[in-house]
Formats: sequence, C-alpha cells, structure tokens
Amino acid sequence: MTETILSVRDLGKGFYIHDRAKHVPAAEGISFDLKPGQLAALVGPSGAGKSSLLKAIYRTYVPSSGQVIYRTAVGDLVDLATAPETAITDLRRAEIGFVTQFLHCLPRLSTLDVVARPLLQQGVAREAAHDKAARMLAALAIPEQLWDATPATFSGGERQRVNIARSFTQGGRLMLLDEPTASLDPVARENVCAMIEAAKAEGAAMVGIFHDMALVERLADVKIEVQRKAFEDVA
Amino acid sequence: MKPILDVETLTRIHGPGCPACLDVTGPEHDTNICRHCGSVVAVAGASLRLHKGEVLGIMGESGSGKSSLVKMLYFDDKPTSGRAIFHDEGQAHDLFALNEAQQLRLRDMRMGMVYQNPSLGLNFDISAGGNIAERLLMSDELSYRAIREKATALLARTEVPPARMDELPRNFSGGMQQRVQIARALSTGAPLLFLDEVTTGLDLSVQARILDLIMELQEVTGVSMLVVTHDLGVVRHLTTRTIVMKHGRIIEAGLTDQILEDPQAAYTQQLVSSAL
Repeated sequence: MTETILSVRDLGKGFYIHDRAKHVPAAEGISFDLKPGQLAALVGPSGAGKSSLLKAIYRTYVPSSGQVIYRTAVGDLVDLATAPETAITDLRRAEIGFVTQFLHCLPRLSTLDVVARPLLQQGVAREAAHDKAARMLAALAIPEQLWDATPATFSGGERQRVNIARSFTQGGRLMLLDEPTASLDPVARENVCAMIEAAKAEGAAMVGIFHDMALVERLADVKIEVQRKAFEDVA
Repeated sequence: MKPILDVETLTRIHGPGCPACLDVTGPEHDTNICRHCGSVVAVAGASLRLHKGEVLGIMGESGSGKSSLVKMLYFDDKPTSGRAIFHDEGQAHDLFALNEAQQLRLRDMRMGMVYQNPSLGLNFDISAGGNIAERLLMSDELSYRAIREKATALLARTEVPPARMDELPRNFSGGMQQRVQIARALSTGAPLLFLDEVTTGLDLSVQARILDLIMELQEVTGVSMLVVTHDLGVVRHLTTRTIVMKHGRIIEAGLTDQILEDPQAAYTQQLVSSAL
C-alpha cells in the first residue's frame, strides 16, 4: 500500500484587512488525504476560496488554522503550514510545483529558457533541460519559431501554455494546479489533460481547480467541496 | 541551507542618543526621531540570517533604515550596537570586532557592493577597465596581462562592449555605469554581494536588463545577495525571501510571494496595495 503524500487537516484561511479592521474568511475546515498518483479537485462556487486553499498549501498565503502534512522524498513529515521558510523554498525548488494563471518573467529570457529555468535551478545540465523544455513546448503546440522570443510578447493563451510547459518541465511530487485549462482552446486543453494524466501515472500527486466539471470527472480521484463563507465585521 | 551572514540586534543611532531613544521611536510611534534627545534611530534591533546562495530582499520606503543596515555590513558605517557574523572559508568573522585592516580585506576581497549612485562604487577618473583592475590589484592578481584579460572577461559578462573598456565611466549611460559597477563588485569572486537600489532611476527597459543580468550572474556564481529596494517588482523578480522595514525596525519577514500576496502587518498591506 502506498503511503499518503499529503494530509490536509482542518485547513483554514482568513485575511485580516488592517485598513478596514475587517476579518475576511476565505475557507475553513478543509481536510483530505492524497496518495502519489492521485488528484484532488477543489470544487465549489466562484469566491468559495478554492484558490486561497491552493495558495495556503503552497504557503503563498499563511494558513490561519490547520495542518498541511507533506511527506518529502526522503520520507520526512513536514507541516507546510508552519515549516521554516528555507524548508519551503527547498521543497518548491525540488518537489512542489504550482501552476498559476499568470506568468511573471523578465523580458530578456527566451521562452525556451523560461521553461527550462526550474530544471537549470535544480542543477540539470543545460542541454538536457532544454531538451525537456522543447518537448513540453511542442506538446503544447507553441510554434518553434517563437521559442527564441520572450513570452512577454505573447498572447494570454500562449503565455498560459508557456507557464504550464514550465510547470510540467519542472514536474514535482506534488503539483498544485490553479485552473490550468481555463481560456485554452480544445486542442490545448486536451494536451494539458494528457500531461496531467502522464504526470499522475508517473506518481505525481496533484491538487487542482478546474473550471470545467467534465474535467473534474475525468481527472479527479477525490472531490473536495468548498463552501462560500459569510463576511463578518470585527470591531 | 548554511548561513553566510547572521545579523544580531544591529542598531544605529545618529546623534547623542539617550535611554529613551528606542522606546519612543519605531512604527508604533510613527517616527524614528527621539523626542527627548533629537537623535535619529536609523536601525534598531535588526536581526536576520542570509543563507548561502540565497537572495534576500530588504524592502521599505525612504528613511526606513534599509540602506543604513547594509552600509554597516559593508563597513561604510559603524553600528551603535549589535553583531554580525560573516561565515566565509570555514571561518566565522565577527565583523564589528575585527580591526580596520581585517575589515578592509573582507570588503575588498570577500564582499561586493553595488550602489544606487554609480559614482560611489566607481572611480570616475579612471577607465572602466581600470575600475576592475583596481579591485583585482587589491587581490593577489599581479600580472598586467592577467588583470586586463580578467577585466575584459568581466565586462563582457556584464555586457559592457570591450571597445569601451578604456573609456571613463563618467561618459557612460546610467545602465552601463551600473553594469561596470556590477562587474567590479563581482571581480574578486566574493561570495556576498549587497545591492542598494541598483535599478532606481533607470529607464524601465534598462531596469529589466539589469535585473535579468543580476539573476543570471547569481545563478552562475551562486553568490548570496542582500537586495535593498523600495521597488516591489525588483523584490518579486530577484528574491525568494523578503524582510520589510519601517522606522528602523524589521516589521515583517517571509517568503517573497507571501509578503506580496498575503502581507500580515498593516504597513506592509498598505505598501503592497499602493503599488502601481
């Protein structure tokens, strides 16, 4: 029996807005377990806090309550909610990936470099990193003529595909997907689904948000319902 | 991750100082001027750890003490109290307990600084190549040829055309002056680099090139960096962790994406939400 890689226990996230003296709850009481090769889909209405949960797992948001127990490649159990920042940076470099909806990159890097970058940072040789990056870009149908150009000049959909190519080039034992298929055309969406399935088959665990319920049915092993929270004013 | 620099309760007070200075200044008093003695508390009780190969941002508005902090670490200024340990070549240097010669040696060989104002980091009266050579001469490099070759290579790496090597940096554009400064700072292979508002005042396109260059060099050399800036974009692109300062105090520290997307302190929330 394979061991659980991620165990989310009673995870909650709220924001305190000092300017307005207001507490804004985003999500509460979320618990689930995930084994290698499984995908958990966060489902619920817009504004329910699905993205906030994903960011709380990645520690872009500081969790307000609960635990995020992650089993590392060497078998240590780490609570991502409270682990030291340096532990989080190490895990992000080597084990945990995040596919955001937006791509930030500097204007000088070529698309191939942007995609290969996480591998280069892991110490993978330039040629091998570029090979893998090229395969991913090809799989996502980014025309080869564009690989030398910077993604800063690309359309929204192209940028998103570059971002996905980068995340899947890096891979990871745990991947967090924030609407990776939104705004993609049907062909690109199918390519991304194939990548997700391939990564799962290789043992990657994933937590994802999908706009399209058909994709949830197709890709998810676990469904996590997230409810919208009421606002409360704090004096 | 191994530490390269440990800063412990570093404090710098300009002026006579009095027992009340630290109690009546800081973010909660919204001032860094002591109302009893008029001293300016530039930095108070600042502690941080920089790891090997890490790029740490120090963010805050003008007068928050971020430059003052870094200037002390580079021996441009002396602290009123506090300690800093520089872990280098198997030794732990207690920076402010060293004598002046030892401090200068570290500054010339094992640390680098890139200032906002290139005239602070460069000698405008000698050529670009000469600026690099000057620093190399302080290390053990002695042959003219070796120095010239190394200077050419360094300038090429920071994208200063070799043809302009013998020109005075005062005639260069702001962006190129910064690139010469970076080449000079890197010339001795120092493991620790301080960057103080290096892109402030440059055109946006030039800023982006400098940031890209710094990032590339960091990846190739693995140099550890403290990056002082008020620019959220610089923090986002260069750093993995960031500390936020106000009125001489460190008020928040965290992963850079967390600081920018989920700031905890009231001041950081204001700072982040006021960005264009």
